[in-house]
Amino acid sequence: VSTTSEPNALYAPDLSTAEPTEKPNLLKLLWIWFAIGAQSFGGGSATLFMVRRAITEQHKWMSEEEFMRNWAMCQIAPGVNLLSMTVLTGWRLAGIPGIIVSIFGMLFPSISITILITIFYATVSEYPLIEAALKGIVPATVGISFLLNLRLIKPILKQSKTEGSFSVYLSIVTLLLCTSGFAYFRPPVLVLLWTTGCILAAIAWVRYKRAARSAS
Amino acid sequence: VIDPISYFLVLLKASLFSTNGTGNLPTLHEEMIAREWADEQNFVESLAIGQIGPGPSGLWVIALGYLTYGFTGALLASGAICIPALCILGINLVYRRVGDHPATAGFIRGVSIAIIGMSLVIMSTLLLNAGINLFNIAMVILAMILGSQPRIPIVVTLLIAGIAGMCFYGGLL
Repeated sequence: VSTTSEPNALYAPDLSTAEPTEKPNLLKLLWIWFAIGAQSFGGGSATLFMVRRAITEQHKWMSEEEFMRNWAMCQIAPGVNLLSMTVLTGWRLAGIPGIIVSIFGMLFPSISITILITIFYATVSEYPLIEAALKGIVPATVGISFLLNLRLIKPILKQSKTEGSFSVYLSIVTLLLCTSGFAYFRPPVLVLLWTTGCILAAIAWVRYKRAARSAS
Repeated sequence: VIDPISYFLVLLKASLFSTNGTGNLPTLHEEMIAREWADEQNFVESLAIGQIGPGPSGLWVIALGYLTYGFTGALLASGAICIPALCILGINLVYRRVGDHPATAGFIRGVSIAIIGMSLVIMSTLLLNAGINLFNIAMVILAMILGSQPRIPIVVTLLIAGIAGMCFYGGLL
């Protein structure tokens, strides 16, 4: 953990108005995103790790605190979180040109390499040995996805725990209902997403009102 | 024959109404299989490529695009994941107003839990289609153990699984 962000936190506690301590130039920004897009093999966490190090440590363009606040905001944004983060970082650092440079720099190398890997895969996928390898990779991908989902549910349960046992039960019951409901009835995905979202929003709203009333 | 406009719209919709790199998986799985644009195999393959390749894990969609619709598919998929990313600028403005509203937090939590539940079902379906046997179960457990070690890159885990497959099914041993 670096201590370099401390002065920033001291002098600019209001994160919304905190100006970057250095002004990045566009060419440098492009090069940084390009390097991240070309090197960050191993999925999203490797990429986020590299972005954070480049933006807040190697170049003090943004405070650690603002970086984390932006990342939290990207969790609720539609689409790929890391692309939202790329857009938001680019915008904060250099406005609209910053967005263009950041998105292009990040996506051009990573998309090109992904397409090359796919082309390579598509040409060798008929070989018996590759087919055999895939028979091992398929269940491994399932395992990794199970693990990812366990990791995603963990912070939700942790957060629920701070709100009391009702929230924990509610989260677990919601998960069980969504899983079994989707498995047996196969409702349209968006219907299930919006229904679950609205029900939990309503419950949270009612509970908040009640807590406010009993407090006053 | 695939109509490029509706292909793009399906990808865009899946990305717009989801969060996280693989949050669009349930919608895409539903729509693309129903339209016979993709099969189960395409999904497994592109998810694996997404883990191997650089950048956000959300780029698995690019691989899906290429495998189902060639270069056009990959290009359309790139556009479809870029456009929703711009929404963050609006969210950045709105979030300060409603971000701490209890209903907002409840809504986000509900959507997140639903995505997790559906992903679990889809992954279980993929496993059921591959067959529940000792080898597959061993691979799932192995991947979960290796994957939980932050020092071991996902690529290495998939490589080990691939070699195991070659040994077991390809007669490499």
